Amino acid sequence: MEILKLNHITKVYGDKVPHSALKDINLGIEQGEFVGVMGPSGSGKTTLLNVISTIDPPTSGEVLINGENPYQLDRAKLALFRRRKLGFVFQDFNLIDTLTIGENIVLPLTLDGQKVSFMDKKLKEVAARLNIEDILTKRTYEVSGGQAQRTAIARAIIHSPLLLLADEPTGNLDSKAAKDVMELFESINRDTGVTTVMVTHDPLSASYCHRVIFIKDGRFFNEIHRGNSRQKFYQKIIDVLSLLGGEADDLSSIRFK
Amino acid sequence: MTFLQFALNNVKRNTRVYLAYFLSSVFTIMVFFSFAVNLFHPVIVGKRGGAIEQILGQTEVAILVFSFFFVLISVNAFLKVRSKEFGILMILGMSNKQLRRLVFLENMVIGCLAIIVGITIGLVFSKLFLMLLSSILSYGSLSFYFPYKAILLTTGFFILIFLGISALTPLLIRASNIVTLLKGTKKANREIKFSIMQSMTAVLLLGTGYFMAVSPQLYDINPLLDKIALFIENLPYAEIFLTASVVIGTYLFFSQLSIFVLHRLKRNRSFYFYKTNMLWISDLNYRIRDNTRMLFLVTIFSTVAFTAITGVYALYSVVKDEALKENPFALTYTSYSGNENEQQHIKTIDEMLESHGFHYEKYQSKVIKQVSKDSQVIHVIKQSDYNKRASALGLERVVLDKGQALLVPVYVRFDPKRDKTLSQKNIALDNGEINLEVVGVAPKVIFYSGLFRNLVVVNDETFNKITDIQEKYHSYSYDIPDWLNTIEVTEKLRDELGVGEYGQYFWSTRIEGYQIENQNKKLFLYVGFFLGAIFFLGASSFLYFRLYTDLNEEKRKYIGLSKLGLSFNEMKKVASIQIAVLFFVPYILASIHTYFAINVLQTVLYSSVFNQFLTVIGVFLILNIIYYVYVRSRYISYLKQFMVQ
Ligand SMILES: Nc1ncnc2c1ncn2[C@@H]1O[C@H](COP(=O)(O)OP(=O)(O)OP(=O)(O)O)[C@@H](O)[C@H]1O
Ligand SMILES: [Mg+2]
Repeated sequence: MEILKLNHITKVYGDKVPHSALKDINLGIEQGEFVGVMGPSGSGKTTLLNVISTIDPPTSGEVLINGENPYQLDRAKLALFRRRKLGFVFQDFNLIDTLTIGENIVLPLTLDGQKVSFMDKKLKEVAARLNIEDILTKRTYEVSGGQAQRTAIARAIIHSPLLLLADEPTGNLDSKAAKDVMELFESINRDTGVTTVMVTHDPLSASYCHRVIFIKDGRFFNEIHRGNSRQKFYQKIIDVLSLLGGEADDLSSIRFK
Repeated sequence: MTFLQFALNNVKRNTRVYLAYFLSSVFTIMVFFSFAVNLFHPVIVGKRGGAIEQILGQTEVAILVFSFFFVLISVNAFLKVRSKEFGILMILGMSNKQLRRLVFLENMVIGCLAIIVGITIGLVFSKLFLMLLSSILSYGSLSFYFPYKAILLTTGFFILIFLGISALTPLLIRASNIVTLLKGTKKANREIKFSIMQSMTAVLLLGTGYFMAVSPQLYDINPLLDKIALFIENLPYAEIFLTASVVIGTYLFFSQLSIFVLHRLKRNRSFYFYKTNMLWISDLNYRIRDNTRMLFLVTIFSTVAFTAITGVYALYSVVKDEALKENPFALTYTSYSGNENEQQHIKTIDEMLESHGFHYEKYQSKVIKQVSKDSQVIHVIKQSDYNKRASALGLERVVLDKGQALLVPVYVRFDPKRDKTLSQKNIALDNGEINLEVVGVAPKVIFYSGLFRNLVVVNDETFNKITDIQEKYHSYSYDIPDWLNTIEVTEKLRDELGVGEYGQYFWSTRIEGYQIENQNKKLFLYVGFFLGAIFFLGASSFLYFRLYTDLNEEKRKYIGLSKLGLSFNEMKKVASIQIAVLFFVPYILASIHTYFAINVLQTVLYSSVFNQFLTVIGVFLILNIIYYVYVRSRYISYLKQFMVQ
């Protein structure tokens, strides 16, 4: 079953000097899939993710999440939709500085008015899964980048969303932390079956996905599937990136570990 | 964590952001409450409808209106700082209703705490304020009372204000666009535009405003200037026009002129590329553009504060001077010719003064009143009487021929250009029987300001020849060196003589006018000082909010620059210049505005208040420097943490 469906999405920015950031994008993502989105800088990846995230309406076209078009909901229902069905992870973590790590994680449940006992139970579960039980009472400025990103992931999955969306989740991390985070995404996807869409620049991170789609200048460019070997998949990604041009060239020198 | 805990945690742990907002609220509430304590004091209430109650009451209303806007602007700044936080919350699925509830809860927590703290501090100081007020009003002591009415009023009004503000917040956070909220306070650094036309308009408007303010002092320099000055004087709504042109000029100064000047600096390449100049000039460009509104508000608020305080301080410090000029003699008794009690009254006054141990000198003058055919009133005094008064007042004695006359001003601030009676070339007495040539104008009032309009000094012989006598006054002026202590004597004399009787006699003293004025001006000082302080505090906290908002952006920039090799000292220098501009440009501009505003005040005063202006500006400069040094050091030590060493 398709959990996410994009039909003829276009997005135009600016009134005086219109600029098309997305041009006729069509995409279907099955339940439980782990999809990467790649492309040169400025190609429209973040825009695409924002359109899916229900925070930036497309200029034309249709977004269906679980068969429902979120942009047709009123504002209160839309907020509820995001709260229950979506989870987000950002490049710069976007944690709330006034809250502790634990409080940050339960925030979606707080907004949903859940019982405190339920929150505590869920918090225990996700904290254990993400290996951040020791830092739950710390404040955001007291933890490392990798820990902050794991906190953000915990926050994104604590309410068991339908769709997990991530914009360059490894962009601010060193290679060790990036590897940890990607392994987490992979295992979460495998164990909970949450459909995941991730934008990334990093071919290594992308190699954890089942499928990677490439966009260029706002248009669909190519897509490749993982198959059995991650190593081969990584090589294919590098190949497509070099076809795409731009920054892809200097990436091909990165060695697969 | 429940929603309520979440809101409370937010307030509890975000002290740095909330503190400025909280403290400014506390201060505003404290001032409002202190005034309410004064206003509801049983003694003041007992004098219902009096001028004092009115002044205090109006101040209270002014503080209330200001409080509302002040809290509104603070909340706005405060919410802006947090737009990224709101963006995150919205993307996590916070509904608008929940956002409103969060802001409402926070506001209410801060508001209620501020009310409690403000009233408590107000209570602690209320004894002091009551003492100050009672000494000002010379009411004896205003005893302390439990000001439950003031507490109720303050609590009620400020709860309303905080409720109202909470209701307005959805307008302040345009929650619909999460993408922009997430981007936080940083704006894309668009190309900076300015227009030469508008820069010129700024100069023109400020120039016009300043010129209008000083125009009354430009008489007698150039005939054309005189005409312009007179034109301005007769302009309807001149004050509004003046204020508007300075306010709009100030806005354009920041939005256009300053950018224009920086643009010029940039074109001077050897200067621009010298050391760190490029860094602060290019950055200042963006800072000023992003902060136009804040710089403008701070300037206007500071101007209001400086002007209010200089104004009341100046008025207060010249009261005695003005009283001396207004009433050259401590007491003047004037009798009509038909008054049979004249000698009796003078005897009473003399005896009363003597019995209280006052030394005095008495000057008696006869003044004849004539009304000419064209119903012009002329008062005439003879040369010998004038000379007696002149020597008492330290003026030159005059010797007039039979055909000569000297004019005497009736008001302290006399101006031959506007007072036609002082520009007469010839005087005709007895309906043209006696014609005199005017030889000059006496330098001072010789009775008291306002008495004997169109007064002429003539030769004694001429005086005795006058036949057309409408009225002949006997005026006795007393010079009492120890006049400041004559309150009691004056009160006793008032018991005996009353205020006077129409067509019989009237009398006035310097001390009575002085006392009323002194009391009024002290009250003004008291009130103006508070208002000024509130406005200045408002200006300061806007600055604080602004710097706080910019801090994250700056952090990112300096991390980058330090990686490129910007040293700590260079960072310090650049940051110091930038903060100094935000602190001192509004200060300097506000001081200039105030200088011209004080010029307007000067036209109704007899004594110069320039020194008072310098004092007030100086005190504010010191305050500003202290504040600057403090904020700068915190700012720099914060950024230092992130610099690569
Ligand atoms: N709010 C906006 N207003 C106008 N144009 C925008 C806006 N957001 C993005 N764009 C433009 O749309 C295009 C796509 O931007 P987008 O942020 O989606 O790129 P991206 O693929 O995420 O790039 P990167 O890899 O650098 O993050 C760019 O040309 C960008 O300039
Ligand atoms: Mg992007």
